[in-house]
Amino acid sequence: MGKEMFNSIKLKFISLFILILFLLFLPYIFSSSFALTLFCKMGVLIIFSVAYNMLLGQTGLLSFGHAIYFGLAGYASIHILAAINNSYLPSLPLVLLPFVGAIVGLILGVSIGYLSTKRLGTAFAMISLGFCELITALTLIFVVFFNGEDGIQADRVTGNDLFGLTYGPQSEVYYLILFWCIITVLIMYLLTKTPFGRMCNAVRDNQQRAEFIGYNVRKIRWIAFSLSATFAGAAGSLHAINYEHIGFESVSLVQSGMVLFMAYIGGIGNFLGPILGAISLTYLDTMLSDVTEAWVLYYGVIFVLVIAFAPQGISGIILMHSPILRNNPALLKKLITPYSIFLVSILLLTIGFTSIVELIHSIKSNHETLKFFWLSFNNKNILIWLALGLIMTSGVIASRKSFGLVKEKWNEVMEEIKLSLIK
Amino acid sequence: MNYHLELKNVKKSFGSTSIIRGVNLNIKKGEIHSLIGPNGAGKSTLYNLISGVYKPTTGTIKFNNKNIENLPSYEIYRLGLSRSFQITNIFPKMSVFENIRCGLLWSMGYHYSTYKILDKDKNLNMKTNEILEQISLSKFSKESAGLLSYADQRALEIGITIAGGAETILLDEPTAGMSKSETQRATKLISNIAKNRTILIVEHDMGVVFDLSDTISVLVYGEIICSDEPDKVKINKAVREAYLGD
Ligand SMILES: Nc1ncnc2c1ncn2[C@@H]1O[C@H](COP(=O)(O)OP(=O)(O)OP(=O)(O)O)[C@@H](O)[C@H]1O
Ligand SMILES: [Mg+2]
Repeated sequence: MGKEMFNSIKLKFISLFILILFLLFLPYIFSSSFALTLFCKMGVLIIFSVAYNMLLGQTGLLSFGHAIYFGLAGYASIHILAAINNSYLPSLPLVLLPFVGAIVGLILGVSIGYLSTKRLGTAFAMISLGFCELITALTLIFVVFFNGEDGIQADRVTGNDLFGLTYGPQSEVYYLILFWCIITVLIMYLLTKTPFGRMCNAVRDNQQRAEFIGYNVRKIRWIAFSLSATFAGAAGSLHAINYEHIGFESVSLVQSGMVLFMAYIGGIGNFLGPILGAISLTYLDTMLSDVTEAWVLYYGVIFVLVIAFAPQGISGIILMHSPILRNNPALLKKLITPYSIFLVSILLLTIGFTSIVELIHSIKSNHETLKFFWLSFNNKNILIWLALGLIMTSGVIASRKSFGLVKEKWNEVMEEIKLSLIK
Repeated sequence: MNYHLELKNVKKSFGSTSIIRGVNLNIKKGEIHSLIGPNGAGKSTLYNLISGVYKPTTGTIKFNNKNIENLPSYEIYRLGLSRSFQITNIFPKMSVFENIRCGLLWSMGYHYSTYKILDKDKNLNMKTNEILEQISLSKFSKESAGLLSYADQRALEIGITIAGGAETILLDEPTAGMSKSETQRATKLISNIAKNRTILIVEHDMGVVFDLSDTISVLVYGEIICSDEPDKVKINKAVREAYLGD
């Protein structure tokens, strides 16, 4: 058993090493500026959503206002950059700026956390919502500091930085973000292995029991809140550096909702979940917002579907298969057919739904025809509407039927696993 | 004489209904003390008062000569008073091992540490395994606690309760809802942990009560009507009328 554990640790180290190597060479594999910008955004949001999940998934606290720490740290960082630009402040290596964001996050987290961790559940969520609205209002009222809807700009190129870096090229920013992403995610991972981290889970599972093993549960929640805000602050700094701009949307409810989506869709029950969520949603977000104006709608639909049918998120779904893999991998074969049928039905549903949405949208924008991949539709043609309606309806029916099939097969496989365990 | 745990004229009302109506109760160090009484007598409420879940309306509670009636639960626990609950109270999503290990953290001085990695502490993990052995759950060590059978969950709860090494243990109906063989196993576990400990136990199974106890107190309608050795309680007239009922 000791050897087994040692091997699994070794395996973890090796895969981590390969991953880091891959990330280091990523800008050479995908060298377009579009890809680099995307990766930078992903890196920032990975830090943010892992930090957020420290609260939601690990400690069981649902916050609707976590963008406050992200955004305000961003404002502080931009102000410092601007001050350096104007020579009010001496030059500071850019790689240290996220520390400033972290400290801003920590201070805010400690103080707002003190107030809001007094309450739990709905009350806690409502308080976080209140703070979010409050801070968003402040950014629009205190124009001196926040510059209203325009936000603030600054130049991240502050002269010669450490190691001859200038942070002019986006690739240098990529490495800066990668550096911080690896460090912070690693620290947050190790935090889950500490007494504090374990007790976060204990408080999430059963706070009364946690009190009766000697812990002040409010203190645990408060520490979790503060640390989560600290890492969110570091992410906010990187966000500001990446865009050289910060605006009120970064503290707003939209940004808070975004990080909630990412953590949730990736899966809040697992450390890797928010990372997967941040990567996939950032990708989707960037891609969709380029091709369609209705992407927010798709976003919402995805969120609702995940909550309703797969609350364990992407990572949860993947991990569900680990008992099968451990005990009898051959059983996975049984799942291939139902999974494929289900995916095809979902594809059908997606095509039907998105074409209808896009067609409706094309009416509003006064185009007669809608280009959809290589096809073009005329939105005045009733037959097209009927055909799309048919596709969507059959997609819905097929999805429901095949979802049932997937469940049935899944239960069969699970039964077999249980039987083999009893033996 | 100084008692280990001493309740003086403790009263508790919820709104206008008084549930605990002037309880005096003395527990000696090292004894197994049973608290019996009909449903709704207020036994669990009394536990909640002793362990800091509720504050008494009036009255004092002394533990090792220290007033504890206004302390929060976690501080009472840190003084060495630990408890189990009538309704199973464990960490269902965490592994069985993790459940017990969390119970050890405070007493082993880890407190709120954010930089010590627990898997590295051989001593801690060994102690955890010892307790798992004691409650016969070693083979389920990696399972989610929520997946255990009811009786095993009860055993796990006792394990969490004793893990931190508390000297005084309050058990609330540890064998309720168990089959005969399960009850036997639980009783054995309780007498096992009672060595070097003071135990207060609420129990409906009279076999278990008269088997285990050094002292029995009878709570009826928020008042202690009798507190004595088992043989004397058995023949006490008031107790027979109010509770034993034969
Ligand atoms: N928080 C509360 N608010 C109002 N009434 C309460 C509260 N807690 C307990 N009670 C009432 O106090 C009475 C005693 O309850 P308690 O749970 O202490 O009884 P018990 O002796 O443990 O009974 P059982 O043997 O059924 O466990 C009950 O009538 C219950 O409804
Ligand atoms: Mg009770």
